[in-house]
Amino acid sequence: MASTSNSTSSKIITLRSSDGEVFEVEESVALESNLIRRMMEDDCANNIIPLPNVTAPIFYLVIEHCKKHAEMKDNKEKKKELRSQGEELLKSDPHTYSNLMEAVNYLDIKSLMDLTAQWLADFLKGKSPRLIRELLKIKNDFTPEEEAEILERNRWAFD
Amino acid sequence: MAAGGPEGKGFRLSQIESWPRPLPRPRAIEGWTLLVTNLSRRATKYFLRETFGEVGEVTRLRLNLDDDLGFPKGSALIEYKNYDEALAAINVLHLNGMISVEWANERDGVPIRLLHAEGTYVRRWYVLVTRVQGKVQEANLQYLFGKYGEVTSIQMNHCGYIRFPKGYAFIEYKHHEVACWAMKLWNGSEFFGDVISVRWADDHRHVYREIPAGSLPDRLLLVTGLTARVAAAELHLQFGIYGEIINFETYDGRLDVVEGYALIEYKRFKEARAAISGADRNELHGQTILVNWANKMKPTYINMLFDDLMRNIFLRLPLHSIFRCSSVCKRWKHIISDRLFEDMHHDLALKNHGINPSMLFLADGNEDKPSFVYFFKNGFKRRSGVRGVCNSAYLEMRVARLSQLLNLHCIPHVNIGSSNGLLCYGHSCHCVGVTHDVAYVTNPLTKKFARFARHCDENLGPSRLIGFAFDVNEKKFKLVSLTEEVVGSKELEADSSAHPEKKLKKELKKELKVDILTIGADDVHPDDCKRIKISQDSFYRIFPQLSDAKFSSFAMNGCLYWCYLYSSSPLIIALHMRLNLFIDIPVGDLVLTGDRRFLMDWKGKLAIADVANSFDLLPAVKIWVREDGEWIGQEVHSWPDSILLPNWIEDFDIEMVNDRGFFFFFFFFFFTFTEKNSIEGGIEFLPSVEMQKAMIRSKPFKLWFSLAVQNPISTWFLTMIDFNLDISHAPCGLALHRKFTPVGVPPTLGKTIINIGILSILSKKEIGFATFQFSFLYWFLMGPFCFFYLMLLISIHFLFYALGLHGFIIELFMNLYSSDFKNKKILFESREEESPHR
Repeated sequence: MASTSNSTSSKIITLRSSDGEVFEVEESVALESNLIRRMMEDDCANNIIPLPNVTAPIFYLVIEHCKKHAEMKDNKEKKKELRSQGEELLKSDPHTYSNLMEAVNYLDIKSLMDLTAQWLADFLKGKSPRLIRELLKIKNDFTPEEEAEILERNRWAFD
Repeated sequence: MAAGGPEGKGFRLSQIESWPRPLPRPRAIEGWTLLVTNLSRRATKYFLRETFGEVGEVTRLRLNLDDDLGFPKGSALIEYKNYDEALAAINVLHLNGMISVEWANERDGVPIRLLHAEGTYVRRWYVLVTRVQGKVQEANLQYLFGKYGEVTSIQMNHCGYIRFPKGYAFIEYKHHEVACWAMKLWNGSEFFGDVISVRWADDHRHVYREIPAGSLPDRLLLVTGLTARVAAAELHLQFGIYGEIINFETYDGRLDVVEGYALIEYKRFKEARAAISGADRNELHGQTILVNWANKMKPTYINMLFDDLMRNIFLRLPLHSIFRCSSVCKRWKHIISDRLFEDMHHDLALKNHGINPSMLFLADGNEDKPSFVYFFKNGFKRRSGVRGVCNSAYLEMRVARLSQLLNLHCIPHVNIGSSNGLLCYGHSCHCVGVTHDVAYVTNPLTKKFARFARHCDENLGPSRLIGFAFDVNEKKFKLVSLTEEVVGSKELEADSSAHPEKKLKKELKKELKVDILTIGADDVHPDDCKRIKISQDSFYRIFPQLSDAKFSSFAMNGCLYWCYLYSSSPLIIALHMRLNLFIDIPVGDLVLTGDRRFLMDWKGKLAIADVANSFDLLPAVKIWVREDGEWIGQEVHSWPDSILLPNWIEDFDIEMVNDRGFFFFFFFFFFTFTEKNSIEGGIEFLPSVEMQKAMIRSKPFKLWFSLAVQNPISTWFLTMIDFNLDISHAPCGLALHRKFTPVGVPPTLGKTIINIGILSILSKKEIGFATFQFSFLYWFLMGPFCFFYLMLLISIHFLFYALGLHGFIIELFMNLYSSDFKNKKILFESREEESPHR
């Protein structure tokens, strides 16, 4: 893993994903996750920390975004870039997105949580329900009558 | 609810033997479970265990709690080890203290065990078959699935709407093994040309919309890769060449969207196919667009996210997007209309903006619940659940608050009505012979408002706005203004020759005329004004009955309604907006008994709600729905507490505290004196209809009463008055109705504890209750002091009133005696100048 600038006391933490792959992550990055932090505080992270709910590809994504997020803290352009990435991910692969979201939720990384949630929020903004359904492949489980009723009731939101 | 009571204590099992007992008596494995309903919300586990433990050994006890609030829902499951004890519990405790005790699981009146096992009463096994072809008959299924075991019933669902069988069937097996076998055997096998799937029918949610393959040809296209610059009209043009577009949706241009999408629905399948082959991978504004079928459904990954994650996402959306999302699918709607989400949204808004958010939530309109509007609390305390019911009568109460919210302090609070989520309030002011009708229409959600004004003819008498409706189809507002006109003498003569007997009537009355103004949604001045003379007799009867404050119309289904329901013969009149016609709605011999009666929309039908104000947490609500010209009554049990009065009182009455303090005393005195006889037995009394009317007419009352609720000084006033009536009371603690549980001084000296419901009519039709407790002892100690203090106050009041400083003195008192007031902003601006109609 590439090291960040202030790695004076960069301790390496070993993590294992659910499918058995082992990751070596710098402490500063790993501590973004409240879950890992808590485990470290409780001293149950001496050896390899198992992460039973996260698969390797998703975990890789998480680490990548963690780093990006750390870098872009004061860079506004990059922030925009990260935002647009979300749109792409959601459009091309909603499945990965939801996995990422769940992994982030599990690892309890606040900054990433904000980012990923904002992605979907940006994505949903201004779109009609039907469009959302089609794009995210959500099944319309309303009966036509129910749907008409809801639309009628929330008419103001569509004007 | 002293259920079980003294007679329950000396209970012996031998006594039960003689009681009739349902037969056969199956053997229990898991014990016998009883369902206890109609419990008080204050019921505790301890209480239940005590009460039910008197009859026999309770092995398990489950008190059902509300998810959010944690108070008991009113039902409990109680498990006894022995059948006899359970039966005894039913016989002894059923309807004792109004709780009902029943078998939790029963069939044909015979209880069954909780868990299935060998024996007579076994759970049936349901199997769900999907992808059943349309031509399949019940007999075919019976033949196939009945081959290896007994099928007890087959349920095939047809959808009359598209004349298609819904494509699935439920098959009920008697034995588990057979069901398993059938599943194993037939799942994935071919049946009438389609591969059927057979599985357990546990989860019903996923099957309702299963449409047989190929039943709906694809005509919907999804266009992706559009740039933000592409206008909708341009797309329309681009895709219109392939065929007739019947539905067109594109992204919202108002927002900065990185990449655009559009949904295009063609009328014919062929056209859609042509569009794909023609437009796919074309270039538009330098970007390649992709055109493909839209409804290629794959599993929904996004929708598998946890609820709290979804909530987190929804919280980041602007309001209108939230509501759009609520119509995406049932789960999202559920998450959004959830109370937890409301609270979170409210807290977030408070945190982020530091302003008072207002929010209107149209909550779930389930089968048995009416639609509700939830206003978000916007005031002093964090969360006291301000809620109103979605109809004008309730929305109206919030107007004063709303105007504050909208920074429209100057608007007199005369509510005209609400329609389609819009509120209208306004007034008519008379300046030297000229009348202006001014109306404000606001959407509390967007906080936008429009102002309409009209100058009336000088010759006419004073007019006032009485009705408001929004025409959805034409997108126009309709305002109804009422003018009282003294009928000219010429007209009278002409009339008298034709109808001599009518002449007398007309001489007595002024003529009522109604102007119906039609205003375009973006205009300021009315497009159209239609004047109608009202001939209906009932109209003349309705209008004088109502004070200004009660003039609120109710709009529904293209009609505007006015009503007067507080009399023995209720009156409802409707104005058909399209035909501009007044219609009497016959009420017949409807008997309304509640203390609050109002019109409401009950699943698209006109209905009267009849709400009894009891001191119970769940008021008795009766709904009369008008169906085919007849009123059909139904009791509503699942009425949420939002309809209760006390929620409003806290933050509303404070504003109403006015500067006319002293004179209320006399009103109050008068009122108490005349209503002396209605204080019977020391239990709460509810004001009669006449009293309500009297109080509504005399505006000062409400102000005084609300003061009485809030201020210790005024409760002393109360004491004083009661003393005059030879009822010895003294304030021992006052509790708002919501916190009704008597927490004050314990009852001393027997029956002298008296609860009096104080009616306080707040700004409009609002009626609040406060509960006071008095005890003789307290009065005995405090009485003389109170009396002298009161005398002092009266003289000070006189003095200050004479000096014109009455507003100041009340403020002073409140600051002195109520620490609560210090935390709350009290609005002391005089309202007198603001109500020109008075």
